[in-house]
Amino acid sequence: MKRNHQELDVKLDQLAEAIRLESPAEQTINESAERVWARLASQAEVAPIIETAPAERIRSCADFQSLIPVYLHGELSDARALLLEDHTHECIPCRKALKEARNGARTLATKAKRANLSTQRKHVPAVWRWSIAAGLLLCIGIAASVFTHRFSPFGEAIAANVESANGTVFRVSESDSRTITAGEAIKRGETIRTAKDSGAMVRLADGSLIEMRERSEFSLSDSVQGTTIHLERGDIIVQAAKQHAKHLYVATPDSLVSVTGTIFSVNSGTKGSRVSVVEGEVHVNHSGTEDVLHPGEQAATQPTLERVPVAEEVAWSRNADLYAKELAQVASLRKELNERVPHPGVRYSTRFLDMVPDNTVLYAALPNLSATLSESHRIMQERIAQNPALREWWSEREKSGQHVAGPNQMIEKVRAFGEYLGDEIVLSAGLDERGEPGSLLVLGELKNAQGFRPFLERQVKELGAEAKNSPNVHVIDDPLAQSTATATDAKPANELYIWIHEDFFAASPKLEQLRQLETTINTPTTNRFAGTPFYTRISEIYREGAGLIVAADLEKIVQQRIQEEAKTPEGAKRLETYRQLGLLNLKHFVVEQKEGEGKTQSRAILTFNEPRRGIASWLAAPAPMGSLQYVSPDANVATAFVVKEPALLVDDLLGFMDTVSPDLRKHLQDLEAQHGLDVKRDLAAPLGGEFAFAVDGPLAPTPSWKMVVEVYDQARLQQTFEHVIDELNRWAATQHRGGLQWEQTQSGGRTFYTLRSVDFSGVEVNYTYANGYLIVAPSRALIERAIQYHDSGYTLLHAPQFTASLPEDGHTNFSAVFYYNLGAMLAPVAEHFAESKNMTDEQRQSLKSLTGDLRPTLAYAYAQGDRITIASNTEGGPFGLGAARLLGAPSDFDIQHILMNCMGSKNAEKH
Amino acid sequence: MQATVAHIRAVPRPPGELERLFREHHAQIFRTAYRVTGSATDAEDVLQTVFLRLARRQQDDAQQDFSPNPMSYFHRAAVNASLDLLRGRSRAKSVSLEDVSSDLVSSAQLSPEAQHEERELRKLLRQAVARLGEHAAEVFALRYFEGYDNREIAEMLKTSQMVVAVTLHRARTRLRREISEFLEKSYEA
Repeated sequence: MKRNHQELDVKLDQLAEAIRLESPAEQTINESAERVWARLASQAEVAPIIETAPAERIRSCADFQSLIPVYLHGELSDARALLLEDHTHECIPCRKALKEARNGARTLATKAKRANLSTQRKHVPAVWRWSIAAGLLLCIGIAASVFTHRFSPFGEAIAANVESANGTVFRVSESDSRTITAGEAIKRGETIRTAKDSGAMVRLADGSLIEMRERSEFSLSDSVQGTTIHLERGDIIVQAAKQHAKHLYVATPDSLVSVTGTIFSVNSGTKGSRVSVVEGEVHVNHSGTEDVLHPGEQAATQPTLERVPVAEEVAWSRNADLYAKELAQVASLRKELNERVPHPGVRYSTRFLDMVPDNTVLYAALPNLSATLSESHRIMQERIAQNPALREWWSEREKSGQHVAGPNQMIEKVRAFGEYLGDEIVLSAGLDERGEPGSLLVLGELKNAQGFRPFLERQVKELGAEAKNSPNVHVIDDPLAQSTATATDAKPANELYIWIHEDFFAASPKLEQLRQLETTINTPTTNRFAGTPFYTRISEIYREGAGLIVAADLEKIVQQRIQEEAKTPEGAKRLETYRQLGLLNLKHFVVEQKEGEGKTQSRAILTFNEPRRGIASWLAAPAPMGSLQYVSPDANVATAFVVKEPALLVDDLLGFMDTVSPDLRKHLQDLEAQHGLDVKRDLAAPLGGEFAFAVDGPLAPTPSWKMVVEVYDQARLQQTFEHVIDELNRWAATQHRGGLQWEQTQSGGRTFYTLRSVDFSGVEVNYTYANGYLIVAPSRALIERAIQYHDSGYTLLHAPQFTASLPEDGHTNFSAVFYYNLGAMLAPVAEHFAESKNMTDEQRQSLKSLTGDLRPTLAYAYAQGDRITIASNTEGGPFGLGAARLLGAPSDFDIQHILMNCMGSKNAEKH
Repeated sequence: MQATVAHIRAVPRPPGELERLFREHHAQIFRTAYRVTGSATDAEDVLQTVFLRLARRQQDDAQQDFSPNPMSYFHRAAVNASLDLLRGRSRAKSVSLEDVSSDLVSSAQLSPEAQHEERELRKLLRQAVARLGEHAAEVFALRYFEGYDNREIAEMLKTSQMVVAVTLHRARTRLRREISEFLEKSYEA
């Protein structure tokens, strides 16, 4: 009997809850406690305690190395063991020392076994070095068990499986070596080796695949940071699976490679090691430096080791042809869809704008996409038929019912309709007397008006046969001549009137709408819509070339709202709040997307009927952003914006507060007086107008966030900070808390300030002032790195992934910019939440597809006198309406998935 | 030779300090151990282990170990000692499949037999938790048996909330699988 996730989740929660509620009887506790205390008291007096002597405080590598014997002994406290494990990951000399100590423990162990142990008991002088050796002897018996225990924190003895072995593969231990065959498991700590002319594929527990060349040897270990492949010698190619919160490491005698999910090769030989990258990003630590490698790049640990082409380096692989070919094939499909398929051209005029009713507040225009869709579909089907990898992926996708908008029937229908339709379809909606949206009207150009009516009637009949709730469709010849009798009988919601006139059609649920339309067409002067600003705004879009348009007349909607609200005193109050927020000045909102030169351009524009005011005016006109020069090219998230005078912001906020609650302002003034602080003068005035925030660096244990703020008056701001912290500490003291501790350090002519929480250890904020900016981060190292980025010019602003997404337009600056490269960062979080039982399946699905679709994206805004423009230039645009996406063509994520899949199946076929 | 690496020292006992800690925390430690192990005898052993360790370590690093407060130190110590105990035992023997029922009803209105079966299922969960990795087992026990929230656990273990969330998620996936496999097997049996 299979149970689904939810059931099991509920069961798990029930069990855990039941366990949480279990409680022993008071009497049991008391009796036990008495017995234990009695035993403690008696034992404690006699039991001698063995104490080793590790360093009291860890300051240097020597201190770390002094901990090694105790660590191997298994007696190091968890915290220190963690520190040591962590350190040996980064520090090559210490890792060497640990390894030697371990080997030493083994050789000494064998020696000791051979000689009679009891006769060896002699006094050795307490020289430190000797005491280490002796400490090793002491732990002989348990060294091995501690070793395996320490390195398998997740309790799985099996670290990997040999998927296929080609030739001879050995499992090597101290005493002997034994051949292993495909399918055998490898435990942590075991060493496996390939003989000459042999090879093997080893699958790690996390799904990563290691391909071994002849005469290669490695072992595996695990720590809290992730799995480490200890490559003793030889060549391996690693296809690292996605490493959620952890990393996959490859350690060679002279380097450490760390990755989160890529394909790369490591070659470790007598002269040194060489790392080559096929896909993804790889960090290589060697000789005290860190190299970051990208596809096609290579790093060598020794200068005598020359670079060779990456393709050559992986040429021994049995998958060599695959790496090159498959990737190219699959990736080319998307390119083909995006570039070769003709997109509907932009339209420079429309007749429908003159036909929509006076009260239109929403206007949407769509190009006829059917040709693009069916052509894309044809190409995709062709490629799918040719490429087995794609075919597999497609059928998998169809089975799971995911995103496949293109079953053949549907596409056929769309194509058939498209044959009759012209270039544009327009949808308009108006506001009725009660301020509700209504009077829907759809207008469409027709290419083949004669054929359309019979075609439509056929479709309606088919639809009626299939679905019960389909609308009652009336195809009419002349709305004015049509009697209204039929309309009043049935429920209006379920009626649809279609009028085919000359070479266009009009459809509406209300006959009245079509009558009005006919009147407008007969006497164009009766249409008052043509004179409105909304009309002018839309025709402006057509003048510049239109693709997809969605436009809303906010002014009219706001007017309606004002009339409604003004009727009640509460409403009037709310209106005042809206006024302070600047919302009553809204005019139009327009979203448009068009194709041009192989790029999709999308933007949203918000216009105001007078210069922006209130909160809407905070965003300043486009200006240079120096703050972004403190952000590295590898940032996950970076956002920056310029504002008008911060002091004026405070005025706006206060004005806004007045409307919400006049008491609040009074309260604030009291607070200000009480603590001798003036928010506007002391805090806002010293600030410049530029802010940036970034998440830039590792996320664990503390996310590497940073904030960069432009500062005009550094002295005053610092004074304010000190004053605020003093006040805060005074308050904390009254609450019997430790408050915050200041620390100041001078370094390189700069003062670094550290604020540490006394109550919560580990919580601290660091900041400094540099070149007129305040830089805040959770650690001083991050600040120093930020300044280095700035000084070296190695910044996000010059990163290829950033510059490639910059828009082609006349602006040199932005008012606000938001850049994100989130995929890798969000995946584990999304996975966690996707399992949460508080979410619907739909939410889970969208979350999953969200993380799959994420790739570096740049969104930006321009604020000008009476408008704010928000746009994004990445493929598919912020609204993601590319033909390829609509048809479910593979995204970057899918491509990787296909590739991994087909590699896996190829490997399976081979053994 | 031992003398050269280790110096023998009597147990450091600041007068009354250990006794005070014992008096203040023994009940809490016992309850925690009882929840994790499911047995009063085991809980007694854990209580003894925790204080023996404390007595040995007190002078050296009691100060740093106690942060942020003794309460959470003892919680962790009790959870870990209990898990160690279960781990040692699960290597020796494992629960027999026939012992455990696959009923998915809540324990509130159960017959005595069903209650017994429900208890066996709890036993399975306890052992399964002990079989998780050290870190995962501790995080899971603190979260679900002891009722700490993710933020508190992250603070106690000096790690990030995200690490805690991910660890919990993985642990749950594994426990779900164990429960599911177990229920299936017992159905077949």
